[in-house]
Amino acid sequence: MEAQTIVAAIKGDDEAFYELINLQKHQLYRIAFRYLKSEHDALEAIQEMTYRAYRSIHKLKEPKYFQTWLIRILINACNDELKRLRVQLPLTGEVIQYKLTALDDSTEPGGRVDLQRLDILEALDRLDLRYRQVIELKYFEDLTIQQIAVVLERPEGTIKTWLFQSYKLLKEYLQERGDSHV
Amino acid sequence: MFERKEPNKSHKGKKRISSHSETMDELVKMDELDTMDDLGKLMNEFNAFHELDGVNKVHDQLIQAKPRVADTPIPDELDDHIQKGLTKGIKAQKVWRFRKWTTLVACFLMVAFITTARVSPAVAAVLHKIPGLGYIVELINYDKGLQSAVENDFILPLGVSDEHENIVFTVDGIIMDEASLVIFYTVENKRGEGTFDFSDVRLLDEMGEPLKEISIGHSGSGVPDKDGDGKIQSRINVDFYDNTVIPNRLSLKVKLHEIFQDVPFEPSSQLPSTWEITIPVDKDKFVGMKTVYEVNQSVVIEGQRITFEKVTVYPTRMSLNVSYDPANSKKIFAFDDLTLVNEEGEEWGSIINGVSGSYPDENREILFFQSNYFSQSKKLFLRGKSIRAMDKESLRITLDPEKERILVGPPNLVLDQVIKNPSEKKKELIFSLKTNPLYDENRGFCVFPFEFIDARGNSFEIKGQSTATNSDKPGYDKTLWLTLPDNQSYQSPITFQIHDYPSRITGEFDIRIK
Repeated sequence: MEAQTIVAAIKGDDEAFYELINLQKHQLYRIAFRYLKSEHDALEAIQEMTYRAYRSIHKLKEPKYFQTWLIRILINACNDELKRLRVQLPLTGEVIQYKLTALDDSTEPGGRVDLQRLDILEALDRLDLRYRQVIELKYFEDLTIQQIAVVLERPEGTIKTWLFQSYKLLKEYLQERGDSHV
Repeated sequence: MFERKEPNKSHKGKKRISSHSETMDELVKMDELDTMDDLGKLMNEFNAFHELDGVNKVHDQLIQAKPRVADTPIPDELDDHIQKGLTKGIKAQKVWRFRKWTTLVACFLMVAFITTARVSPAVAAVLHKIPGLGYIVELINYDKGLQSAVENDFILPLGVSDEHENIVFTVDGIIMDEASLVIFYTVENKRGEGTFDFSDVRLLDEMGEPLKEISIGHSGSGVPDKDGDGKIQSRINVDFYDNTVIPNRLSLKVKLHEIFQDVPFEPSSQLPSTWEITIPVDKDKFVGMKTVYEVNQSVVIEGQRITFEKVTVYPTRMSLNVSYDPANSKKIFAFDDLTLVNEEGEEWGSIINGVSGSYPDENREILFFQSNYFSQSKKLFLRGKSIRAMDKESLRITLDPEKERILVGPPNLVLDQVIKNPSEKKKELIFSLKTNPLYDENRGFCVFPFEFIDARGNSFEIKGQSTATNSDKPGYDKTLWLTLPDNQSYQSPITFQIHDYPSRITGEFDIRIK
C-alpha cells in the first residue's frame, strides 16, 4: 500500500508526500530530539527536513529506500542545525560534551529514578555524536547496519567500526560510574 | 517493503549466550554463520570476542532503554512545522502537477511560472464585500485581466449549491463573456475528513446537450484544504471558441471521486452522485463586449515566417491569431516572451492559470493573453524575442519502453528509468532533460503529446505527463515523467512527435496593434 503512495509522492503528488511524512513523524521527531536535545531545535530540523525532502524527492530512485532516505535528510538537517547553533561537531574518536541538558532522565513518570537506565542514557550522551547516532538508530529506531550506512552516508565497514567502538566506550562509561551491574 | 530489524531476534540471540559455559557449546552445535549472534559476529570481526560478555550487558541496557525513548513526548507544534516545511517547498518548486488527466488539454495547462503575484487592493475590496467570494482573490492573483474584470463589476455572485452524500458543491460566482466562463466553486465535505477531486465535469445547454467546441480545465489534484475546514475552493475554466454556441442557460454537472491517503486511485472510489448546478446566462451583460484589431503582419526569424493575423480583446482574455508558413523548415512550438505592451510600458502576458491557447491546425494557433479590455490604452504593441522551435525533420522521439531506451530522439534528453505499476496497468518513464537556464529555470515542459504511434502504425494515448524543475543527474536540470498504459495493446517501439522542446530561434520584433 505504502509503495503506491511513495511512487505518487516521487511523481509530485503533494498529498501523498504529506501523508508519508505524517506516518513517520513521531519517529522522525524522536530522532531529531535525541540528536539535538531541544524541542525547539528538533522542530526546526523537522521543518527543514520536510522542505528538503519535498524539493528532492523526485530524485529518489528506489521507493523502498524512502524511509532511510528521509532519515538521512533529517540527520543532515540536524547537523546543519547544530552548526547553526555553533555547537562543535565532534571529530572521530574524541568524546566531547555538548548541549547536555537534563533530558528524559528527570522526567521519570514514577518519580523514582532507576540508576541503571539513567546510566545508559547518560553514557550515551558522552559518546561522540557519530557513535551515538549509530547506537541510537540501531537500538531505538531498529535500523539495520545497512540502513544506518545509507543514512550516515558511510560504508558498512565504517558503521561496524563505530558500533564496535561505541560498545567499548559505553562499557567503560558504565564501569566508571561504579555501576556494579557491569 | 522496508526491512526492519526485529529486536526480538537479537534478544533471542542474547539469551543463548548468557553464560560462558553455554557459549562455546551452543556455538559448536549451531551452524556458525547463520545462527551466531550478531554481536558475537561483530566482536569476532574485531578480534574482541573475549569482550562479548560486557558488550552484551550494554546491549541489554540499550534494549531496556528503548521503551522510554519511544515515549519521548511529541509537541503539538509538530504538525505545524511539517506543514510549514511543505508549504515552503511547494512555493519554491512552483510546479503544478496533475495526478489525473481529466481533460484532453490538461497537459497544456502547465505553463511557465511567474515569480510575483499582484494582489490588487481594489480587487480584494470588491471580493471581500461579497460573502463567500473572498477566496477568489488568491485564485486570480496571476491574471491581470480577471482582476480588472472583477474591479469593473464583471463578476456575478451566484451561491447556488447541490448536496449529495454529505458533500456540498457550490458555485459561488462566475465571470463570463463570449470567450470564456470562469466558475468559482467550493466543495464542502460535511463529514470533515477526506479530499475530493473531479472525475467528470460537463457543461450542458438548456436541452441537456453537452456544449460543443469548448474546453474545460481545472487543477486536477484539487486545491488542498488549507485551513482544515473541510472545504476545497478553486476554479473551473471553460474556454469558448469561434464556433461555440452559448445557450441562455447552462447546466454544470460534476462527478467527484474521493482521494484516499493510502490507497491508489481506483475507479471504484468515484462517488455515485452527480452534482448539478444551473448557471443563468445573461447574454445582455456580455454579448458584443469584444474588440477586434486586424494586424496581418509577418516577421521572419532565422528564416521562419510567422504571421500575426488579428487580436481579439474580451473582458476575460485577449486572443492572438497566429499562423506559420507551411514552408518553414522548423516547427514553432511556442513563444518564450511574447507580451502585449501599451504606451506606458504596461505589459500583459500569457495566461498562466488556464489553457494558454488552442491549435486549429498544424500551422495556425490562437494564443491567449491576460486581457486589457478594461484599461484605456491608447496604443498597443506586440513584442517578443525568443521562440521555441525545432527542425521539422528532427521532431521524432522513438522509444522502446521494454528495452528502456530512446532509439531516436533530440539531444539533451535521456531516459533514466522505467517503473512498472501493474496494479494500475501503467508504467512510468522517467527522463532527464537539459534546458536553457536563462529561460527555463521555472518552466515545465510538455515534451510529449497525447498521442503516440506504435510499431504497427496504430495510435494510442498516454496516461499523463509532468515535469519537475530540477534534476538529480549532473548536467541536467529537469525531470520528466511520462505515464504510459501498460496493457499489452501496443507494440514497441513507439513514436511521438515532439510537442515542445527547449531549442530556440531568436529575433526581436515589435508590432503595433493599435
